[in-house]
Amino acid sequence: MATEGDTGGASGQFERELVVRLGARADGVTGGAVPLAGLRKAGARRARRRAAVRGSAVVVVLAVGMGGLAQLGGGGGSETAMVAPASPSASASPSASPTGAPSGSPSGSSTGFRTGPPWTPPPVSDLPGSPVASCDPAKSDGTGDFWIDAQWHGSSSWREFAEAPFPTPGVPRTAQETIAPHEAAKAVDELGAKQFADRYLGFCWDPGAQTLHVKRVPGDGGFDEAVRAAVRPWPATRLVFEDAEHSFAELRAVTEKARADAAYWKSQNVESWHWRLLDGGAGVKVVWPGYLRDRMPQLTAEFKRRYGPLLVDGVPL
Amino acid sequence: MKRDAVAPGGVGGDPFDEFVAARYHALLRGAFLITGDLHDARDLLHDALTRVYPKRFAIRDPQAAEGYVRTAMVRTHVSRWRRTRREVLTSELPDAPQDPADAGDERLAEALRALPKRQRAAVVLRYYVDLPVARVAEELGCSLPTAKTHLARAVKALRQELAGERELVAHGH
Repeated sequence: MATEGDTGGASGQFERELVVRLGARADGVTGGAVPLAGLRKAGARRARRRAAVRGSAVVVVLAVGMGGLAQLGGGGGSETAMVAPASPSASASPSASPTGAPSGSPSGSSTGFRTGPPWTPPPVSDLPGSPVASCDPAKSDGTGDFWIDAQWHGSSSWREFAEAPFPTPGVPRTAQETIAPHEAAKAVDELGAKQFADRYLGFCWDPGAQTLHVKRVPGDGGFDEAVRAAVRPWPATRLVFEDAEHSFAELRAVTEKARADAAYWKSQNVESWHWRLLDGGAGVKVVWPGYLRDRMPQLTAEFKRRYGPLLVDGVPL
Repeated sequence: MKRDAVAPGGVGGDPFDEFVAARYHALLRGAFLITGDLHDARDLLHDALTRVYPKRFAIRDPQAAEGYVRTAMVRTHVSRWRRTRREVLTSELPDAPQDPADAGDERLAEALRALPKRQRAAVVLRYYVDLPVARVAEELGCSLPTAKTHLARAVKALRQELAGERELVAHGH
């Protein structure tokens, strides 16, 4: 009975009376048989619905998260976060090297696979899909981004990247699934990366004109001849050589130096940044994510001091 | 509820089924007092049971199952989202209407109906289920002072509502 806080007198008497009357009223209820089977089914339906809703919610959250990371460039520093923004570049061009190469193996085998508008369009509006923005030098804006992250030690070459299953749900699995690069371009890229790393900057494949633009540091050493020989099996392919100031390996060495200091930069709350390659391989720019915008001048100066003259500038993302 | 003896179990082996089989009618009585209508009471109870059903394996103490169901029932009832009746479909037809209001104490029924939902639920939990005020607060999802306020206002309203009845009785003698 309800005794807690009971008071004597009229109030207590009323409460006791209330208990009796409520009990008497409730006792009048006879519910009949318990619809156990129906309740069980209804409960199971609800459980299934909850599971379905939860599953859908997880899928939506993952999709939104991945989409957000792809848009923002995954500044958080996790491996996934950095792989995600690579995919748009990869899907936009047959090369993933802009993403994977700089932070990949230091062996020099990850020379970039430079692509231009014919392979684009970049799905991230402010991120050109390739270090070489256009196959047409007259139209080139001379810039392109590729990703590097202090925490990322992912795929080291565009080849690995392109052939590996893509890790981000909802995004085309590989660049090759979207647009296959010309086999001649692949051959040249492999040749340049493995045998002429000190001269090779990259290439651009223009499928409309069936033209392969190869950028390299001019000089002797048989690179041009080797490229001509590599392309010979595809006689319809037109070959154009363009001069570069530095090889990709030289430029990547700059980025590798910075990456080697990842722990230090992380301690300074600098967890990610991009690199932008200047047209013709003249150097690299650091592209700072938004949260570092206020510190950009100081950080750029510090990067220049640490990593040498090929690092020419720092710009906001 | 506490007034009812626990019936023997043995329904299909699922402890929750056994609990439902044993306590269904007791819970239905409480639901009837809360809603004031037998059909609404069934609806409310079935809804609460199906809410608890997916989580039944998380209930470690079988004795606590009734509290979970009752809490689900009370909170569903007082939820401001519960504007319309939602029916839980079962494969069995409900029994013929047996509205105990027909049997008497219509004044109490009217007085209860006149109370706000939270106050009515508080009265049922306190004076029918015989829960301590702290537990009433817990099941209502409010603080102890709020529960006390609900109870005080409800009792005051009921006293006023039923006072006329007393006077009539007194004058009759």
